[in-house]
Amino acid sequence: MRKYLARRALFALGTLVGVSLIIFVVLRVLPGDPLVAILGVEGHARMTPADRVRIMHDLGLSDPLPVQYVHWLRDIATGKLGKSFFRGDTVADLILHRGPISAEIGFLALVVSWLVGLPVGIVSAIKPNSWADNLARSAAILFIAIPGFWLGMLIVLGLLFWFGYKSPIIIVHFWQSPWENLQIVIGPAIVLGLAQGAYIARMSRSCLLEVIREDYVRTARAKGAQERHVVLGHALPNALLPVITISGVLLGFVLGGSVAVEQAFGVPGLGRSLVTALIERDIIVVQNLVLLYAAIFVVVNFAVDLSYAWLDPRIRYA
Amino acid sequence: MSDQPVPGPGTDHLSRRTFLRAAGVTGAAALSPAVLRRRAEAQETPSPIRPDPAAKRGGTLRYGILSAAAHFDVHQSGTVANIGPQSPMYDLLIRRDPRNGQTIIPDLAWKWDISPDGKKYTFYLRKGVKFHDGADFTAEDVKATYERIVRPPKGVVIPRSSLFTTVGDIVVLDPYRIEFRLTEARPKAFMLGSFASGWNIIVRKKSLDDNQGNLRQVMNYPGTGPFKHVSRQDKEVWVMERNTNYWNKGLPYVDKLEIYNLPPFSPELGSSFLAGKIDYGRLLDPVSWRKAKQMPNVTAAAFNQSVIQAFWMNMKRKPLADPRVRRAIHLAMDRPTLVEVVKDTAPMQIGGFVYPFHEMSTPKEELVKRLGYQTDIKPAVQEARRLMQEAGYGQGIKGLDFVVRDIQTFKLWAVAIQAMLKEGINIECNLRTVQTSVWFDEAAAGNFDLAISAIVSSLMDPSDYFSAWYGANGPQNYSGWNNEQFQALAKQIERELDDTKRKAMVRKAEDILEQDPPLIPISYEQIYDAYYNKVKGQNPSTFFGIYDVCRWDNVWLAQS
Amino acid sequence: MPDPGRAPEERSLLSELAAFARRNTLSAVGGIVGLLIVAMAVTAPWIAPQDPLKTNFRRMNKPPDTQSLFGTDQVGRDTLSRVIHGARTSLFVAFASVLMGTTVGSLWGVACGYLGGRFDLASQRVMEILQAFPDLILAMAISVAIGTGLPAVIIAIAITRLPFGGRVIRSVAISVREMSYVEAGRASGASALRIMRLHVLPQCVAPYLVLATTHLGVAIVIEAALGFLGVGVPPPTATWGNMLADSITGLVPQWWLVLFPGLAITVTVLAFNLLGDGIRDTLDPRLSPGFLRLVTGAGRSAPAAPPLTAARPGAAS
Repeated sequence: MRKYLARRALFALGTLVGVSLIIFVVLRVLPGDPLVAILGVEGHARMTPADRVRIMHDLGLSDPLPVQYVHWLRDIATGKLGKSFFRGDTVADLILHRGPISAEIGFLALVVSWLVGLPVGIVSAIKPNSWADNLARSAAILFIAIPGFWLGMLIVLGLLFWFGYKSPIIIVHFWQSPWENLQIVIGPAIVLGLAQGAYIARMSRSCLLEVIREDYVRTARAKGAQERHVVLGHALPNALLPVITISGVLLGFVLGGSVAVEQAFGVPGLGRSLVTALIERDIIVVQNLVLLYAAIFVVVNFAVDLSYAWLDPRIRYA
Repeated sequence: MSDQPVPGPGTDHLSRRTFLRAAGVTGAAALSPAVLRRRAEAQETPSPIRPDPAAKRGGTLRYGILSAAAHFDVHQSGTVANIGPQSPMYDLLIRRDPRNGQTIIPDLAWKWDISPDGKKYTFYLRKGVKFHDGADFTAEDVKATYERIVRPPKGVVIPRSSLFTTVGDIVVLDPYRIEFRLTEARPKAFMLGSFASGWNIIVRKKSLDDNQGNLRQVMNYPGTGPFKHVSRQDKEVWVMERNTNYWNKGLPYVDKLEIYNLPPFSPELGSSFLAGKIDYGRLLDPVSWRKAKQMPNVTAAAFNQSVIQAFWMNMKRKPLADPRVRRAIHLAMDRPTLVEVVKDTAPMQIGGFVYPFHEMSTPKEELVKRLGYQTDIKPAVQEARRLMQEAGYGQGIKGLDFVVRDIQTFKLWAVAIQAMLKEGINIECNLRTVQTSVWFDEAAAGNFDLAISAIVSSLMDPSDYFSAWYGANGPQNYSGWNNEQFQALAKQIERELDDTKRKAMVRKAEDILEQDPPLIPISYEQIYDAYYNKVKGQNPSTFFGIYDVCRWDNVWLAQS
Repeated sequence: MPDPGRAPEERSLLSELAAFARRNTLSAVGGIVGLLIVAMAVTAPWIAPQDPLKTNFRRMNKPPDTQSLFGTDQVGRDTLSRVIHGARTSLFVAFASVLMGTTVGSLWGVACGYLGGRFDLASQRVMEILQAFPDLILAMAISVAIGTGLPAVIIAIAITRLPFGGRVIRSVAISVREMSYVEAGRASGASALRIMRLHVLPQCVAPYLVLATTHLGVAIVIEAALGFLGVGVPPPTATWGNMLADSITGLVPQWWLVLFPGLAITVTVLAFNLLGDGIRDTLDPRLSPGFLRLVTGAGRSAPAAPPLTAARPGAAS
């Protein structure tokens, strides 16, 4: 098992390095002049070429590309996540302030997806093709098809139109005021959670159905065990494995989808910061945030690998 | 309590002090005129903004305005994202009266003299004013501030520099008197307006020295203003507290200022205001504003703004170099409809090449009778077609590249303008929507045939934007336009000190612009403010723009 | 299950489809709806009541009525026509990007699986790296980097689909490679290309189809999200995502500008997802969750649940 883990860890690291390389290259090709946003529209109009060269140099944008890349990696390794071009805010501050909100959303979405998806999947698998099963499958398919950001728009509009309700406008962390904090994160969490839950419901249903057909389950039934015990005691643990894996992948959906959903709900999370930074050509922020997202994905999947290694006896005792 | 110059701590005028103390407070007040008369020349007068005895003190004012600026250097900025949140922390030399937004009144300078030849402006500065970090305010700070504005150092770009091109030496006569010596006289209204512009906040000489004259990354450089920085969350909120040492004793009234970042015309701003999460909202969208107007405990105000919405024509492209083609494009615009198209997005009003509400420009009632500004566009379109025919483009023009900034108003207008050009004079253009930073790339590089955007001026006075927007090398002259006649006239307008003559010249200049357009004006923005009636002391109806009156020093809350 | 009592080659296409429809009614419905939408997109210029780009200043912001069934927008453009033409753009982007991404990915996968060795190892790493980015974010970054515009968006989304095709087809190729008749072929001197053409490619058709249909829905949503965020196909082209973004003006947008484009996206994605489900169930009813995970991208790590198909889970590397 240790060799397996070590190999996976090495691969994870390699993936991260590769990710950083790709981000770096892609962003340096960006068109659009970041100096417009920095100097403002008026200032930019009056800039001389000499000014431009000097400011680009100050921002570190005129070093040769490999040098910039190495500087960037070095900064990350030493924990300096860089500063936004603008205002001198550090990316670290940004992550520390907005990160918890996006993380909360991700966590709550996961909880919602399991709370909703698993029971629905189990019920479907126990009574396949019943009306409950059909209802569940239809609902799942529907929630996979509805674009999260559209659902978010509708919810926000509905709340405003019928209740005159507007969620808090600035970030309130959970430890500051739980109720306000929940108001901010609950919308995106539910939208993302339901979509994830739909996948989990389908996945757990098909996994369960398959395992239920397996011999050892037949044996358990033959022994006279009740259906429920058969499912819960034997089938479920085995079916959980793939569901855990898919949760890792779904994290990717959440990380990506959260960008659009955060925008729709007006939640000031990291996703929105990313979009704004991309539009403003704030390259350092974009670089580091995208790297962060990818890193989270890689790390979580590594954790999934770990849990696999532990749960799957074939690896554990290898 | 007036700012009487009393013997300072170092001097030993025991007799006077004892005398005054013996005379008691009322006695001292009664004696003040005597003291004043003895020191005839420099007796400070207090600010005309006196604390209102009926005003209640305390409370937190929650204010919603765009405050997601790219940097912190107000001088280098041209966006409300800076001046909106940062202005409460600073003062000016002279300012626009916050009660009407027009009259120029003393601020840090309690008096000023203008020499008869109009070339010397002497300002008398208040004593005992302190910056937020405790340092004394002196003429050196004013000199450092204005030296930077007038002659910015390398790498620093200040849009207001063009207002002070004739300022030569800035001389510190004594720690509380400073003199600006102009190389050429300028109209008084113009110069005073320039000094009173909300952008020209006074900063400490030390702040500039410590940062190589560039404050872009300095969030909290000290000011003398009524509010002090407490904390800031990027793109969310900036919290400030009352400056208990403010020189204008008795002000401000509120204890705390919470400035929330809510973009103009955005649903967040509108809904936050209507839901009561902010007390004062600025740059509201028309729908929210109309709703707010109907609320019983809300005041909804509208006033003018110093921004023109327009599109430019690249004169390097052959058909566009011909003034007849450009005038045809100008006449093909159905301006009332253009205002209507964005009526739920942003408040706009019709105008031409000069601010339609400025005393020197053609007033609106006359303007709407002119070709190109009428509700019925048929006569204008007819004339436009005739001009195209005359210029040899009776068949129209194809394939113009129309670059559009990615903002809702411009996107809507571009579609409408495209239709108007096609139907009116058979000009076909292809819309190309780009992000703002890319737009400025393209505009600077001349990669466009038509390009739509909005530009700002500091003053309503034509001399400001005649050079910036229409000047031959004006920084916002994206078309690359020039007209000798106009430039000559503009120079004269700059120097003419007689108002009547100047007005006539401005009208003449307008006519030139109508015939040979440097840009195609679409509309002028209006500002929609809304506030709950518990906010007192603010009356924005006569304001010009949002850059001059945004200090909140005379605003109070009826209930905390 | 294959129709008993009749050899596969004997059934006509029509009866195959009928059998399919009987077995998977829902999926068939999805397929038909999908087909209708595609037909609508293709015939858009003829069936749309008005020019989607045509403004009408006398009918701005009108709610749905007899003249404009879906209402008009802020410049008087007919929403119904824009939704119909939006199908054109959105579907074109989705089909093109999925086709491009899956095909290139599959070819890459075939090469990996068949050639093996260092090329395979290196490709595996690259694919893992690509999959480490969340879909939308990768598409955003690429689309913004290479300049927004229709081709840019297509390429951006296509790149996000590459790894899926790569992995699935790679496992198919590997398993085929090890079949005895292929070994025999190699021994008898057949060229790699010939073997690939004759043996590997036919085996890839089914998984390829499953991949393509499964990802169509995803591509549509990504395109719409890009449009909604303002980094997709630039206006004034009507795409569903753009229409949603443009609907946000002022406080509360007009409901018809929000409802119809969103509904269009939902119905289309639903249709293609259902179709994809049915195709997947049919083409390989023995498909294990393991294979499913590969297809959806989950199975990039440890050995999965006991593989029931010939395709080896593509993790062993």
